[in-house]
Amino acid sequence: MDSGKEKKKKNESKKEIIEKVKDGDKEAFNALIRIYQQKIFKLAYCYFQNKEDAMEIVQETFLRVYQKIKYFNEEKNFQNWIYRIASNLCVDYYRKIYKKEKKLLNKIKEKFILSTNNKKQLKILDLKDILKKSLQFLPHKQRIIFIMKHYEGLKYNEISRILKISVGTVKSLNHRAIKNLQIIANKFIRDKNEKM
Amino acid sequence: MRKCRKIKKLLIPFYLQELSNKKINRVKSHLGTCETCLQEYKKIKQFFKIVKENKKEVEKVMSSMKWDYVSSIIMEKVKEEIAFEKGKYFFQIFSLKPILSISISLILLIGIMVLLLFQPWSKKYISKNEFFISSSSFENIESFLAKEEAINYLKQSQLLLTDLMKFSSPEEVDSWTINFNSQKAKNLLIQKKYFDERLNHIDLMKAKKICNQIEFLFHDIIELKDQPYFENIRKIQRIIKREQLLLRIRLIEQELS
Repeated sequence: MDSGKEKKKKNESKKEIIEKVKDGDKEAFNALIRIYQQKIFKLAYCYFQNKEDAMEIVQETFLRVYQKIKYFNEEKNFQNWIYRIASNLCVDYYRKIYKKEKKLLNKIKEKFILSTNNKKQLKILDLKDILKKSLQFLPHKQRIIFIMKHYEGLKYNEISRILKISVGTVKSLNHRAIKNLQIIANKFIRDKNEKM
Repeated sequence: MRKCRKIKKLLIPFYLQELSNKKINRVKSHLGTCETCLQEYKKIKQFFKIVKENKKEVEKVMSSMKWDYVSSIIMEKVKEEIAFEKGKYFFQIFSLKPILSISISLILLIGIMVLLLFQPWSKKYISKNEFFISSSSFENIESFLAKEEAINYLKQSQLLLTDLMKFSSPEEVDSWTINFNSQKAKNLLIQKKYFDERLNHIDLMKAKKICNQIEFLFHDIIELKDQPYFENIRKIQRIIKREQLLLRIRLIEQELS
């Protein structure tokens, strides 16, 4: 009961902050940044696997929030709204920046395989790197859903509301993402073993 | 094999605990008997172990971040954006309302055309040898000159009338002085013709009134040339005295200067 009450209080205070931001209160906007910056950073960091791009996405997300908050319907969930902005930005940013560097990405893949000559290195640390790299090869929606589910800890219905797709689609995309990640990771490991 | 294919599809949701109790039991009993499916399930388990490790790493990165600094950077960027938006406001007017933008453009166009047509900076109005005088200052100069002329006229008239007032007996009357005075009166009459209009224009009515009175006397003085009699002079003297012309002339002179 107490946790329920606390949640309600938190939501009310968030609503107040959003109202103040709508009225142009900079302090309130600062408070909003402090509440959501870590969540957005986590999403972007998992998506791009580097701090710089993640920071870029965080800044751009809050800039969009500032510009578009007047259109935000207060009856809806703000967290869903900001996650939607951030995930769209991740996809756009990836298309804009990384598409040009697709060739470079392939080179990274080769480099990654060639650099691991020592057999001992192929342990859990390598597998973690493999997972990071494999994530980069997932389709955007699968990647976003996988990150939201397994890194951000969001529920299926929350993700479905953020991405505006059905819960069933989210579930199946999540399962497909896991399968694809396994396939990609296995391919990496096989390539690596062949090189050694 | 068919059963294995079906179970393999359920392994991920089984690990994620997304299955119904019925399906969970089915997967569990199959994994107890099928080695390949069990290996597959172990792979999934290992995969999620790596995901967990990776998650820990992400948490490490998260805890290494200076969030106050991050929020200050974001605020800076937003402030920059606000400043930029303000600067953009002028140009936004043109993009927001087409009717407003068309009317503003038309006003600007008409303004430019009027400027080009009249060219206030052109040499037509001010050249090297010319200088521009406003209408008000021109009026001021004109009134100053008219006043000066009136004062001069009145002074000369005063002298002439004072000369006439000197005659006190018929013996004093000599033809040369009379001739000289009548000539002087003639000249003054001619002079008055020129500045009469200016007096009208600048509204020097008092000066004009007395000048008109003197004018009649001047005609009499001119006639003295043909009839240089003392009686005629006395007549003029009486008029001067009666009308207090000398005093009035003096007063107007003072008023004008």
